[in-house]
Amino acid sequence: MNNEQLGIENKYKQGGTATLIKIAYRNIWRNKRRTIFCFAAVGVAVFFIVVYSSMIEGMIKSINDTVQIYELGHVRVVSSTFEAEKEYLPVQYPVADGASWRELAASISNIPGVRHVFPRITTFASLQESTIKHAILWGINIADEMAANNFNLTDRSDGLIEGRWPAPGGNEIAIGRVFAHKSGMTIGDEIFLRTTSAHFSDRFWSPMITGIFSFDYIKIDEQYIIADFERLQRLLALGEGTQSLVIFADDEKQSASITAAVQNLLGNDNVVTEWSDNYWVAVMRMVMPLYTIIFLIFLIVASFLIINTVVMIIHERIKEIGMMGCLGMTRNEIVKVFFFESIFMAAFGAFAGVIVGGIVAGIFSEYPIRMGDLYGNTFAEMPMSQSIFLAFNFFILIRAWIMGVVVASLFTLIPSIKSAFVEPVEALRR
Amino acid sequence: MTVVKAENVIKDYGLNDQVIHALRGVNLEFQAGEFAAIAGPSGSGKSTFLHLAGCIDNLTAGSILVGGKDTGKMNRTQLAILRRQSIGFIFQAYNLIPVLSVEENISFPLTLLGIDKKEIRERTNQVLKEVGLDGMAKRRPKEMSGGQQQRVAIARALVKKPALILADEPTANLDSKIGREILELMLALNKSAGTTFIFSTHDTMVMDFARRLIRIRDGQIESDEIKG
Repeated sequence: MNNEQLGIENKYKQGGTATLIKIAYRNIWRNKRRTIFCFAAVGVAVFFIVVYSSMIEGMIKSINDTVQIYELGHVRVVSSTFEAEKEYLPVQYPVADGASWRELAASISNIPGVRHVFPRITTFASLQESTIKHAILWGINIADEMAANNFNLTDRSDGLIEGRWPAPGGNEIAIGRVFAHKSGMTIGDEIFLRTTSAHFSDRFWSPMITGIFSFDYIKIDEQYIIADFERLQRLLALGEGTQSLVIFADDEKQSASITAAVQNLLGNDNVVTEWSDNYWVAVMRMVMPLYTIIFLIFLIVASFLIINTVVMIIHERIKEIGMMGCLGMTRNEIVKVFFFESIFMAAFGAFAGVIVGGIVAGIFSEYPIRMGDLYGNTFAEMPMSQSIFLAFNFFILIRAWIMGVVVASLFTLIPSIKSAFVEPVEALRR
Repeated sequence: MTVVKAENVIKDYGLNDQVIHALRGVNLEFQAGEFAAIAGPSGSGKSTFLHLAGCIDNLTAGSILVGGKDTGKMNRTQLAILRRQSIGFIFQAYNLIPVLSVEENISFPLTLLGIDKKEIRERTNQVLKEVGLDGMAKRRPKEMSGGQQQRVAIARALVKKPALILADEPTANLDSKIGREILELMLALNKSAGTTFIFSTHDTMVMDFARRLIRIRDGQIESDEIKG
């Protein structure tokens, strides 16, 4: 029989939710200590979600920046033979069979979205009369590159801490802060080094140190010697060619289309790599979903306290449940009271976690965490700044809050439903 | 008009592998405006009958019609709505919602019915006056005496103008003076609004007030007396 046949009006659908919410809200303060424990459980979980999310996003940003600035630009071009032997950093396999890098850059610059095209040379050098025996020579167009990029990852500056950058075409180099510290060399000193040219001949060079830089990227600061591109091009007998070209786009999202266009322009003898194909960038892309699962586990564990609390509340308020049934509340309405109560506990707890986590993330987004100090050389292999700025944005905060509320609420729905199965008459007898 | 009609009502409970026969073929009929008491010793079945009439318990056999509707043929939700619309409860332990104020407790059944706020306010204020709690609207139950709380419970039961109010030992927690005041109040409301009251009790004062006294023992009606 339906309600109409029984002469029962369907008014019950219309009202009461606001009062149920009011009851639920006031109920959470009936046992303040217990409620605060629930807040704390969800709050601590959400706090960790905010801080860890900010840290991981900060690391991802640092890796992306590092890969783009030092390794690949947004798109990098090398010859396919170089790519096959890239561990040895050979200079004898220039881009486009040694074609003029300026002509190549001019052609690439016509591709929509291309902002800069820079030539780079990276090769090994053996050092004479030095405590450090090996280094990497890095030939770049210093002034042009500095105008396009902030080489120092921490201070967002050019990173020169002493002296000046080598002059174009000059017999000069700059060395990293760690390199200088380990070798004991300083400005004005000459370095005696040997490298191998594009013709497989030994080349000896004794440039003078004009500057000391600190980019906060340990690999560069420790191993790299920066020289002017054209000086190194001449030293290594590269003619007009270059070992690699790095391309910077107006927007990193254009990298894929630029990659395709450059590949099309230069043909298959050259390998065109998009920055997002970098190993570490790809690894970090996979890390975030894994961490999301870990965050969910955090929240589920925290939810157990609320689940336990709701179970206790239902037991304690069994007579009230009976009375609610007598007043004519349906099962759904009774469940709502307890479910709203859980939502309030989860929402307030998550809010507290977001506030505290947000403050911590906000502070460390201005004052970086020194990963080297915390973890030693654990992250030395990663293309990442030694100083991590935590990412601070409202998306992280809102996502953490929503995760906290949704997970805790869903898990507490189960004990809340239990309240609906309490028979009014059984409840009143207790 | 018949408000409650019980025909051959049987209610059995299972308790530790034993079957307790709480009601054994009870036949009762209550007309609109009655002020009736069901009296009997503990375990006689008086509260069980009240629970069945209030649609919060299930029959083993027989039938109970409330307002002409067969409660045995209704599902849980339909029974809940019937309670919401037509039945008021008054309990020995008052059973107010502790986190709501007096006026919120009283208006709660009206909000469940989806009545508009203005009417809720008017009806709540009127009932507050009728039960003598004018000026206590903002208090919480814990700030009130037992007698005052029972008045709130009466107001809550009465505010939705139900056809039937079931009162399970409403004076048991009150001293005799307050108990008398409560009974006088309910009797006055019965006369003014014509609401049917059915009490379960073993309090002689309630029996004295009742206009109809039904005695029950071992789940069977022993006597049914209408007073002059």
